[in-house]
Amino acid sequence: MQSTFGIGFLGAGPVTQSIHLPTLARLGDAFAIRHITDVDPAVAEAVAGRVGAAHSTSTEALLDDPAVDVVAICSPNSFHAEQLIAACRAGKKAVLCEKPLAMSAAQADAITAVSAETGVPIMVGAMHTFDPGWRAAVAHWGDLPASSHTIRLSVVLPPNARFEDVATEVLSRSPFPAPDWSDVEVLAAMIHGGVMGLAIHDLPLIRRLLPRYDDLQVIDAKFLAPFGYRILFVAGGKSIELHAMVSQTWQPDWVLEAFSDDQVLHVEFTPSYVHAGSAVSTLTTSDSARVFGPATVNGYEAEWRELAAILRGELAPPSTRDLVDDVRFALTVADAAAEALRKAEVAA
Amino acid sequence: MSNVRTTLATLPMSFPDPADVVFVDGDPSWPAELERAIRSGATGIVLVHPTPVDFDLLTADTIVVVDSPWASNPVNGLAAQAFRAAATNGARVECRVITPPGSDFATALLDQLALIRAVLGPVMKVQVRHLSDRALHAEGLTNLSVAVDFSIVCTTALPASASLRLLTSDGSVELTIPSGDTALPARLITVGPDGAVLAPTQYENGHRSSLRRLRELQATGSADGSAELRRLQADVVTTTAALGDHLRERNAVR
Repeated sequence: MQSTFGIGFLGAGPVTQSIHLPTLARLGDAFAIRHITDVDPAVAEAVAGRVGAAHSTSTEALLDDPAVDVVAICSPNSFHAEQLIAACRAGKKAVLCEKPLAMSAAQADAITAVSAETGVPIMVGAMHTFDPGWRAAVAHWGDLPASSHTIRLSVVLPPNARFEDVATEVLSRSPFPAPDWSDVEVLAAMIHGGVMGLAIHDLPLIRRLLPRYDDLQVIDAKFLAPFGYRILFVAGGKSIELHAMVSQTWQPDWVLEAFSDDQVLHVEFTPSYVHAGSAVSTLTTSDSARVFGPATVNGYEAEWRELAAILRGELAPPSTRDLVDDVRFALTVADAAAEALRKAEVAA
Repeated sequence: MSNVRTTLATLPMSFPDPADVVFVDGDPSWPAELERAIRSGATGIVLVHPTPVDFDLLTADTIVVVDSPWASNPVNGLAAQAFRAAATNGARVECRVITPPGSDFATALLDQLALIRAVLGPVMKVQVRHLSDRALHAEGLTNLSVAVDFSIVCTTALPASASLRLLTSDGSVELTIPSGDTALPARLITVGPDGAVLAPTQYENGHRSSLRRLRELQATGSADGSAELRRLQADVVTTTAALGDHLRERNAVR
């Protein structure tokens, strides 16, 4: 039985540098980084040099590298599906794809097909779904998915650099965009991007609380400058509010709440990038509160540990159908929010 | 109501004769009760937690204070300073209330309007975005163009509370007001580049704060005794305009 698995990274930006490399430094018994690919050859070489890996600028070079057992896709969102499909067809042992898994329904269909065709285990790096604090709450929440009637996600964050810079020393950081706020299509694209780039962390969690979303209806969608959104939608008989704001505050506040008549779930997540332990979840009723977490392991470490268990045959891989349903749900929210914003702007 | 009456005992010097203060319960028949109290010659009236019903203002020398569950909390003097300082152009405030299932949403919304009025200014217009048996989401605008996102969520798992949050470019102002039936203090936290500051806690419930206000108004001798009723009337009009159609639709469905 192979005990250590070689990893190749497609994309060596801040997420690879400040999240995955420091996490994998804790997991040397299970993984070794063998190959780093980036479109910028200097970045690929510099990041590979930190971990003693090979480097290249093409997907093909990484997929042809026999030392790579597991492909980690950390490229821009629009490349995820294409690279995932190529990795599966290349006969790799597993693929870990950063969220979102896909950016269109057609891509989601193609991923479903390649999963059935190749059987390669696919994981999505939605770290909150692996977070021990969240999972403990799920194990104890009883009938909350059926009984909850109101769900709220609020994410208030400083710019990523505040955390990236204490997780590693980052190369090649992209500047924060300065779009034309007066263009409705720019706003629609920003809110779509907000859902697929930020809310995406927790939409799989919200989907666990929804019996259905085929009746999803966005009631209101607003883009909040400099970067944020407020989206209100109903689905499966529940009202769901998604709120986010990235500002210059030093204080992160990342909270998911679900309310039923007699139970409330409150989950406080730690910020990405830094290893600040797991979320803390609280399940409250009128006469008690049960607290889960914090654990020392955060969602990123948990997701890699779970991948190791899958590769060793100790754990079944996640259902690709569930992962694809997660991204279909996210796309449904993103598309409907963008359309609601367009209509509101035209009406105004 | 008994909670309010018993609070009088904590002000023995201000109100040596408790019979001098008339309490009017804010259930839907309160306008008639208030009129009776005024015509009886009461000098000080506390209107407790009024429901949003139409009413006519009476001209009289009686001083009426409105005891509203969130707006009467003594934290609101400090909170008003903090929120008004932070409410720059384009600001948005979240106003969230937890309330038990079966609560009257119109009254809950009126309570929210009173709170926003206390810390930021009157809300001129409210548009309900979503209303169900268990939640309400609405959006409003104050007289100084501060946008307010209102939400009311029903559960018995948490005690009733109101919370406000205003996110600024580099921090926030956050206020949580617990149920006014105890002296559990509100928490006002201002976050800025230098850190987070918790305002001094005040272990006085909103009922006592309302009674002190009544005493202070009586002491001036020239107070406008109907001022709080006029403000209440404006908020009732806003509440009714926002919720009227929605409640009629829901009642028709039932």
